[in-house]
Amino acid sequence: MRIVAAIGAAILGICFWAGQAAATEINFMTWGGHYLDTYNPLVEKFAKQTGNKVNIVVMSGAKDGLTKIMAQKDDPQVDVWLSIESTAAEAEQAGLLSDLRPDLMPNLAALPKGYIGKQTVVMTLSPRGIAYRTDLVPFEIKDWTDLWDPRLKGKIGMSFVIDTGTPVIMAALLAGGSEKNIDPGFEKMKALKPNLAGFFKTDQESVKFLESGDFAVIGYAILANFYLKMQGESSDVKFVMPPKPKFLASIPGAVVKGRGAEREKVAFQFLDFLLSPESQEWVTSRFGQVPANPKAKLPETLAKVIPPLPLTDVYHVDWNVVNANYPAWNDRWNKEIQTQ
Amino acid sequence: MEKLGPFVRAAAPACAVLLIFVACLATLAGYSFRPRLGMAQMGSGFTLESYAAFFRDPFNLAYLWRSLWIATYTTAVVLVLGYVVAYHMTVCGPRMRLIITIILLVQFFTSYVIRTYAIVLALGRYGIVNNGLIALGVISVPAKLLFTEFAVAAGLVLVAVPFMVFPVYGSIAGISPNLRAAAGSLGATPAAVFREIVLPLSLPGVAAGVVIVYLFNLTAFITPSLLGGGHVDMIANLIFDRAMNTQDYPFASAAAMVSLLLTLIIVYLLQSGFRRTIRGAER
Repeated sequence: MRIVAAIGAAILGICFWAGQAAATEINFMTWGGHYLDTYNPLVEKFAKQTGNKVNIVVMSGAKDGLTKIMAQKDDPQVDVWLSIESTAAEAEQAGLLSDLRPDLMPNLAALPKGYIGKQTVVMTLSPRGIAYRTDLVPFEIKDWTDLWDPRLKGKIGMSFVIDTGTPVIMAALLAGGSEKNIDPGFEKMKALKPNLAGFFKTDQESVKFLESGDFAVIGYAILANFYLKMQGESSDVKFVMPPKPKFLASIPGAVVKGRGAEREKVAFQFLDFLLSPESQEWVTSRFGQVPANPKAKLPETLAKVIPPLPLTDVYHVDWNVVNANYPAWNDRWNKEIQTQ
Repeated sequence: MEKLGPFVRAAAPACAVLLIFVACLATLAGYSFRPRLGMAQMGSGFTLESYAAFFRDPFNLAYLWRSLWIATYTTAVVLVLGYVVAYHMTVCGPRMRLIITIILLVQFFTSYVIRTYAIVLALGRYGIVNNGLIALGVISVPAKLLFTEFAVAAGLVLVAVPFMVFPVYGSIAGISPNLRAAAGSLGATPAAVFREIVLPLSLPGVAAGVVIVYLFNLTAFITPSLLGGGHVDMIANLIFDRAMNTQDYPFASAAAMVSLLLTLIIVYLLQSGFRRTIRGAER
């Protein structure tokens, strides 16, 4: 009897192991915090549908993700990567990403052509603007130029690393410059210094310090960080997407090269799964983002926060110019703006 | 042979740790001598350019001086606070000693990030300190406590106290009570007993505590990052910024190597100084 039970257990064990061995495990790198809560249910759904496991790897920011992928160049540990345009462009230039596989991604056919690159595909579009506490700011903020209002003295939190220096590009555009002529941006930012309370380096810090009131205004904010907090009736957090220039950041997804054919196949299938209307509606309803797949419904509450679609006057940053100049701009920011 | 047993058992894991440490250090040193070709790009030759770039710019040196200055005075504050707590633990009753030990251990084992966030809540515009000062009528509007050098220093001091208390307590507790009793019976006042017996014999613990706390504060990263608001960045923040934000690995590695060498020099000077002081006290 004991022998029969042992043989039965061994057969069951072998079957279980064989089942596990057939499943492929991939690593999906994205931002942490709120992003984990959002992507965990999708990861579970994908696992149920396909039998393949997706592990979420957290990056503190897009630059952190890029650094990890570059450091792991000879032995990559990430399969699917969500990022921002500037870091995705860098990774592409460095030859770290795989070419998209339309044969494995049927949802690509629904996307506007402009969203599909050689190696990256826009997953969602994320509004940028100004987030502020209505109980701590004495007037309604409507425009980027309101940041320079003397009534905001010592109230603004600002960052340089968010969106790879875009806050300075915003200032440059207001002063007649651009990423190709950045000096007016730095001069404009110097004029903002009296209004700056401090600087943050991660999305989580911007959320934390706005919550605690140590920053009454986040001078360059990502809607996704504040969207859920704004939903409550009694919420005193408001987000405004100033009319000109508008920044609508593409959130590209990509598959990292070099993890083997099987993992790459599942990675593309997972990316395609994230482009399905159901996944897109889930993600964008939690982040206040615009879905890339036109078949996905726009979150209802998003219409109350951003101007009606399609958005006009969206500024498209030349990321090649930014990436070429970023180290010098970072140095200038530390010396001219961040130092008291 | 039997005496070698514990040594042999410890040698294997110690060698593994040493090997990993040396490998990481060698990689860091290697990167620091490679040419910088742009973001995340390094050449394959040998150059001192990154070191020259570090020393050439007074702005980079300012991070070093700021780190040294903050580490020095915060260590002094931690020494005074830590010594007082440690001394009290040796003279108080067992119940109070247990309470203090539990408080220190809970603080010690609480995540560094959580402790720093707690200080953000305490020192923030609408935090406990400002609310208390307003309630007492000391101030009428919230004072700017966060995002200042004061906040960074307070954060470093509060987090480092257990690292001073434990070694100092160990030293003081190791002093035989008979020595103090004998001195007292020969007419020494409590102050004289402390000055002539307790203080000199506690110096080994003080030396250990000072070295640990100084290095801990000199290389602080999370505390200046969260509490300094970008205004009080220290050398570790510069290294992180260059490595992670601009992917200038040779420069970041050079800054890290300079920081490491400075740390080694400081440890040597502190230990030599304390050794001489302890020898003088023993005479």
